Amino acid sequence: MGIISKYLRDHTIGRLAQGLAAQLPRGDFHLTLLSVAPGRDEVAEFFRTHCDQFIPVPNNLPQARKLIADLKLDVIYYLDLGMDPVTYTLALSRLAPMQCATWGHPVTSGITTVDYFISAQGLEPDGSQSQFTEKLVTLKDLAVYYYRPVLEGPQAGAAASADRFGLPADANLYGCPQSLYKFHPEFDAVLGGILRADAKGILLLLAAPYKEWQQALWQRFNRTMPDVIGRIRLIPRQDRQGFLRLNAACDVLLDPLHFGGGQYDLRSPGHGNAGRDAPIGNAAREAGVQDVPDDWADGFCGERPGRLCAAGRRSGDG
Amino acid sequence: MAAYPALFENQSGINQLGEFWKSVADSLRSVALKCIKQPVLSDQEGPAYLFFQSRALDGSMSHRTFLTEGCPRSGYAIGQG
Repeated sequence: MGIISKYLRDHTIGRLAQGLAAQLPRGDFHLTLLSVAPGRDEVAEFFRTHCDQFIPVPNNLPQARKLIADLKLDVIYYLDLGMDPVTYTLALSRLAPMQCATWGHPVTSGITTVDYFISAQGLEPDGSQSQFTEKLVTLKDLAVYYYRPVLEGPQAGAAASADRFGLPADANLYGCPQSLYKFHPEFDAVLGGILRADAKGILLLLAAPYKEWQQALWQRFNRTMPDVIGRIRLIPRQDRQGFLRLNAACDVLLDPLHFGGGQYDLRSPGHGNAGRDAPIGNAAREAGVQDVPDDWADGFCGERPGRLCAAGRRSGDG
Repeated sequence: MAAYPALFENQSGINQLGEFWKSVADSLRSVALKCIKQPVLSDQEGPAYLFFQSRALDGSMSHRTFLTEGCPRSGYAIGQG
């Protein structure tokens, strides 16, 4: 069994795959981790010590292909096909009899030598096989063993009340700390609807690594929700602990339409404030939150602007 | 965290994935060896252009093209969508 990625380090992909590496039954599998340009952080070290074989993969494609083929693996599992040109190009070759992709990058590879796309029942609408060149495999549960995140320092509740990122204490904080490229234009109606429905609402977004992303998005917000754009705040990029504290500070966490969170929906409610906030959206539902309504966003695009707030609280209390 | 019964440290999905892999890999093992022994890896190697197209937040399109040495010619499929 080989698992390959460029992101077997402190990265969303790495965090999502840690448990898989550690928990895959060793009686049945010999696990080789293939790390493109391996890192040296805490998560990378975890991978090095939780596999049967850890192999750095060179960027040189012919060398990389030969290296992997010589391993004679039965299965290669591409964690994030499409996010990195090296792994994407490797997948064009038949390096193992079974080659699988999964939702680290949640779209078909379009490559005929990738046989299966591993997904889960709750992630796929009816008929989604038609959108994949791979044979779509919908497991009953997410194939993720995610370690409970630990918020260091003050307890989560204290952090939530004391650390509001300088925002008014009586504000209702709606957080959507996702990469800004995930903000589909149709999501604007939801965000605008929330802020119009809640006069005390403040929407917190996470700054992008490139200022151009923010400029472009704000230009769009100026067109789509000029009346409430003043209550959208950009929070500087955070380290892992800062990110957890940001989530703890929010009253409601939002999952973007169409391109939702991955690790975010798993780690956000993990610091003990389940009565306070709740992840909303498809990934939250898949992660086991049972009462996320199918039409969770619809109310904010039209006549029922109060619905999401109620749904969020209901999930948290449930 | 009773509200999120499946969120953390849940083995069930891993087990399902493992069972799937075992069921398919066993049946394909003979095929695998044949595939790997075939000259798939070196067949038609040569430079290929990787062509990326992206849509910016404002709707504009941008394109980037890379020359990737040693890429199999099937890499052209990337550019063709």
